[in-house]
Amino acid sequence: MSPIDSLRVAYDALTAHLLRTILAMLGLIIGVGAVIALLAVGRGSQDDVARNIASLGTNLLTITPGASSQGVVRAAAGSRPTLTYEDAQAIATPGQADFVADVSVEQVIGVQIVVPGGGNLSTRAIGTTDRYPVVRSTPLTEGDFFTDEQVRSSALVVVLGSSIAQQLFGNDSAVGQPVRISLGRTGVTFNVIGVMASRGGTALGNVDDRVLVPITTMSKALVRFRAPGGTFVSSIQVQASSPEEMALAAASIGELLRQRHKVTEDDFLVQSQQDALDAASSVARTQSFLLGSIAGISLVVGGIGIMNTMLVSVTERTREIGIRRAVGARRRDILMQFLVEAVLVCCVGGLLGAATGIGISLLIDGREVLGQVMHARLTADAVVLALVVSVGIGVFFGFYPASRAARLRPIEALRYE
Amino acid sequence: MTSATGNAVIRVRDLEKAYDIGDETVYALHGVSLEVRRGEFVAIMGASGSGKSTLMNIIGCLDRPTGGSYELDGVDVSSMSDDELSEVRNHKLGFVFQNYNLLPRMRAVDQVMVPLFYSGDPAATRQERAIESLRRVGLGDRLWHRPTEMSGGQQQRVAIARALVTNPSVLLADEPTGNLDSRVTEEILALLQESNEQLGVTILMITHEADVAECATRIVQIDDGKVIADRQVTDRRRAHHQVITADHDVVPVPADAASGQPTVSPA
Repeated sequence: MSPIDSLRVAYDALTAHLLRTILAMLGLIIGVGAVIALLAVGRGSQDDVARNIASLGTNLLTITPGASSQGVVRAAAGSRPTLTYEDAQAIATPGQADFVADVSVEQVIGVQIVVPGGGNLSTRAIGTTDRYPVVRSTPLTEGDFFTDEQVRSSALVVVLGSSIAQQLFGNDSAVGQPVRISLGRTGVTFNVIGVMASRGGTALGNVDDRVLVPITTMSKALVRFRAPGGTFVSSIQVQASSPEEMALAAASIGELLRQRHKVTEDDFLVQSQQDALDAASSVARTQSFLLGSIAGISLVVGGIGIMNTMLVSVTERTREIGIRRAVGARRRDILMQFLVEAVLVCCVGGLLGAATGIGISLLIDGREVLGQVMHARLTADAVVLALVVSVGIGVFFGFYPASRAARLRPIEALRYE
Repeated sequence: MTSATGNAVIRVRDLEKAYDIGDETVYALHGVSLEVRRGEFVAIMGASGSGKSTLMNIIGCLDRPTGGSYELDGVDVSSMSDDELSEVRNHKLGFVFQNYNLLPRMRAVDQVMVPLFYSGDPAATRQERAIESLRRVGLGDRLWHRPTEMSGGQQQRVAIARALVTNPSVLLADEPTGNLDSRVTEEILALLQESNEQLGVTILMITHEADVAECATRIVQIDDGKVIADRQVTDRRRAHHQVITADHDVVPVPADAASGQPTVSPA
């Protein structure tokens, strides 16, 4: 029997029970559709993460406190403040560390802001330097950022995140307004000099509801505690002179900090944006793998549905098998007939499923779901994979029913009622 | 009379078919020897359970004997593989069953084409051959009908066309008229006689009706797994003569050789 004949016979058999065929396909359609749509969403969120991190500034190195050891006691990374504003100043000093273009620090503390109309607003204040807008590549929409001079003189100035400005002053201009920021019982009135542009929520948290003050002001006016080592910071941001020199910059900074901290083992961690990107995209990859696996289970369930239908079909057509055997069909002709049928169901189901998956992906791409804008990126490999897998399912789950049909003895098949 | 001439199509010797049921061995066939010459029309008679169907199934290569030998067209088929038996069924044998055994939902032409799929016939000539075979059995005007759109007699004609389309050596008919009324029975028997005489195809027909068997040239009686009688039909009955035209249905006309009215009752 030629392949074209087999296909015709399979087509006739499948269209004879159209509803049953469609129901058998349904599992596969849903499975393939789910795999394609979920992989697309997974890829889309991977893209989002990459975009967010890239927007924070390329060739950016982030230094965070690392594990410190005192004698035999080794503390977990970040558990003890080891980095200071003075470290950052040393890095910024020409001739101390190589391949450094710009340096900024960030110290984050929880504060209360007194709202002019009454009441308090809990938020986080970031103590930083005048280099923040450059290093974080975030522009201002209103006013100016504080200057080097204002940082050095611990000026009582504040730059508001976009949503804080909106909450405090609505559509009125914030610049020039006084804002009272308090930490514990200490309350200080700051003068608003600028408002940051909105960055929106990112995978790394929302910075629109933060307020920015000079690190020196935060230390002197709010925290009012100066450790003997200097002013602690939660991180130091360093912009390397070029993306190619990031590794060299990291090495040079490491050497300088070890020297300053008088340690042989690093008590800090130097990470590039690439590291953060890798970490975040590995999380996103794991996520989409998990999503894909769950969708894959529905593919297997779809395959079992097809096997079930094929088994019913073989039993129902026992007589037909007997007749075909009587007029000269060999075992492999019968095997092929039912295998082709199963594969044909799966091919059609796979194609319909791919169309469904592509449709869903296009539908949700760029749409807001649960307050978050979803992105879906369709890739050819996901579609091809889903189609190949569905053909594989046809062969795998079609083989057992087909071989059962082929094993039937002609005389018994003919007598079957 | 079995005569050991060289042109035997079927040569069966000491054929046995045994089933083990528990500790007991039950013989469906217990030493059957039979020779059928080319062109014969043999009726096999016997009560149900006599072993006649088992014999037909073995001769039809649908079942294997547990003992004895079977040569078809001079070739020993008892040791053939499953694939080889499929080929023998395809090329040398044609089957007609009591319940027609047509494939559901398929048009007559497609039904008759099925054996040609498996014989590797070129696709171009398949339909032509099928139509020719259907015309020969008088179904020139029913080519595209499905089984549900045809009478029992017409369905059996499709089955005969399917059996003959590969030009087999032997046509095996298992109670071919068992489901048909007397008028249609005569039509089918006439068609078989005609095929036997005009195409030269050897026919083995199982029946338990005496007047159906009388249409054959030879009657073999089986009982308890053995041949108990084997005789040539001296006064062969001609089934009601048929006028078969290529494009019209069968028109029965009274035949001179018909010996009285047929008394066929449904099985």
